Amino acid sequence: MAATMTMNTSLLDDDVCPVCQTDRYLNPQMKLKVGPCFHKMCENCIERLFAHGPAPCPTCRQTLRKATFSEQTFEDLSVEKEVRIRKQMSSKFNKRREDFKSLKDYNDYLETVEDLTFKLVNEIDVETTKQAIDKFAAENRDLIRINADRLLNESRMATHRQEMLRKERQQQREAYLKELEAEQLAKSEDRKNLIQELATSDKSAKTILAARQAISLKKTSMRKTEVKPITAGSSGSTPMFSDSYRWMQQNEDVDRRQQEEEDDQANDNFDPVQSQYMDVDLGVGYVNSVNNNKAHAGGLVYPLLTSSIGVKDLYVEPLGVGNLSQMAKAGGYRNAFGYERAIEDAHTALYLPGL
Amino acid sequence: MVTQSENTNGTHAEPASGSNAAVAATNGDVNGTTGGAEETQKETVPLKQLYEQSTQFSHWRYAQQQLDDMRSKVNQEVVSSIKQNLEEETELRTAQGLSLDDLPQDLKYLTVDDELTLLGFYERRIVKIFQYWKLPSYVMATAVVYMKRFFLENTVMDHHPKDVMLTCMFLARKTENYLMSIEDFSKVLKSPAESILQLEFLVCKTLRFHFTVHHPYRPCLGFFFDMQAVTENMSKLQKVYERALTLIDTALHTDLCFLYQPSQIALAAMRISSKDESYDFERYAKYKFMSNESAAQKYNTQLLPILEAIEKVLKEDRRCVEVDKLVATEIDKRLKLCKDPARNPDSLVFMKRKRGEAMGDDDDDDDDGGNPEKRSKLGDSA
Repeated sequence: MAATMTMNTSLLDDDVCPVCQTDRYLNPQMKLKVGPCFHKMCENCIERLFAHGPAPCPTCRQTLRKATFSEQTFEDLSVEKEVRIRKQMSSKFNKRREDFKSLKDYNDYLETVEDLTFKLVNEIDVETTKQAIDKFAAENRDLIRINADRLLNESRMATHRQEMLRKERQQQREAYLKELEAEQLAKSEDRKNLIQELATSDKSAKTILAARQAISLKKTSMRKTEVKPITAGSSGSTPMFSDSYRWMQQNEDVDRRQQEEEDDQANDNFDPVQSQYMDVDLGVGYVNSVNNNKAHAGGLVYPLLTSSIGVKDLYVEPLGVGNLSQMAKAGGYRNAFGYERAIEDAHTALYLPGL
Repeated sequence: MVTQSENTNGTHAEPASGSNAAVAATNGDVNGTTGGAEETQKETVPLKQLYEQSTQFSHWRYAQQQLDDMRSKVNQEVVSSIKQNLEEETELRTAQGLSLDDLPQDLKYLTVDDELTLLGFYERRIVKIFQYWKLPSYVMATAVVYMKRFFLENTVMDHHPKDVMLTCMFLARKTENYLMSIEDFSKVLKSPAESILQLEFLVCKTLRFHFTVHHPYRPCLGFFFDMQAVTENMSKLQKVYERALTLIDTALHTDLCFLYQPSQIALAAMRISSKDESYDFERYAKYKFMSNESAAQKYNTQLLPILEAIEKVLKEDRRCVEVDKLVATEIDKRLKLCKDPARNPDSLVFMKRKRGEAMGDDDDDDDDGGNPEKRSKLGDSA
């Protein structure tokens, strides 16, 4: 309930305390607080004026205390005032719909509350309004107290609920992770056994593999059809989950597992570099033959000179040429490409006679 | 099997590739617009045809004689037209009784030699400015080559080389992928943007939109790599290479880029600089070119003469030397006097021409079948 918004500090850059005229340049940590008469003052002034007890406000001469000053939450002081008044009112006028026999009664009650609030905010008949409020408070003291208690209870329950929810989610996640681990273990076990079998048994490799595959397929299909119950340490608060929610959660987990399996299978065949087309051994600074000694250009293939010239693998770069940056290498460039191009260019049209 | 290339548009202007020449020219230029893309079968094309598709090979190779002829022809045309215009201007002025004082008398028109000197001066200015920018040398080389090609077909009397120089630099930065915006460019070079941009299209047109230029820098690097096979002393080879690069920079100011191929210039540069650095070039030549009898024959009859010719040019061409500023200023002074009066908006000739155009429109009106817009524009002049 407590609104702890702080103002956008960029708006405060040219604030000046109306009392001592310090601005943010002189006191970078200056904070302006508002008193019950809604006049602003910097903290230093408050300290100075009200350190020895109540003192009159420098602007309006109302007697104030240090404790009655609070941080300003709204830019507009009138809004601040209204919010404060309403807060005070709502602590006294906290009747609810259930307390009234009919809707009309409830609405009448609300209207009276509004009237009083309006008078207070705009400072009309303040005395009479205050008296009326006090009268009301005295009359309905019990009801007010009951309602206040009710409010407290409700907020407590809400926080409790959230806690439970969080805990349950956590437990589910842990259970899932455990399962994943168990799976991994099982997989590695399988693999170990497979290798063992391949190494020791007499059967051909194919039959062994086929047998394994059949078993693993059965296992995965079983897992998919199974719906695991949620093993949460759920307390008596589970009733607040509707059954549909739980079902949704269960299925979400299973789907996720399925997806991961599919991804795993796809990963085995994934080949982003299309290495089948390349004759490249990505060792350090070594390229076997770039593009198979051919240049592809617009669908036509040109045999490169370097196939007859013979490009070596490694050359000394001229001084002043540093090593390839990481970025260049990441883009797929290798020094060897440069060598080939340079040597290619060196022999192009070498024997071409002048005109 | 090797088949003849069926490139239909191989020898025409290649699409203006603003891309880095280093990338575009893996081996000459790739003509990406052939119909080869539709073919499923790949054809093997003999290597020389790939280079032969490059515009530099197809359009910008000349013999020395051709270059001289082209230049003198353009020069004479312009000179004669200026003479004519001057005479006309004199006539008009005498007719109107205006003074002839500011008209130049006994003009010493610029000769081709003068033009080349002036151009050499401005080319070296390009080099200086690019040195300040610290870009790779081929960008500067491209700018210089653009200017040279432009002034094969124009004279300095038509367009002052100072303006053309700026436009060529701006263009070269664009085509070699080191773009600088026109605002920054005009600010750095303290020159109004409009004059640069005005000439831009004309320069592009004169270059026939052949923007990719091949320079000897990469072939030189290729020879550097290749020579490593027969070198023990790497530091010496390094020195030879660096010296060769400076030689190539000098060669840029001569006509070599029109006469010979970049690889030949590079090899010649390496040869000359190995002589200077006492590096054994012959050993490499033997290893590379004279592995057997026929190859040696080929080398001696075809390649060696070229290398020697290039060496001769580099030794004797006066453009290899820096142009003295005083000389250039003197030529510039004379250039100012040679201005074509027809381009001067204050001159009578200019106004007459303008009127002539307008009147020409009027005359056409009679023959015109009936262009209603034209008629209404000129009123009831028919």
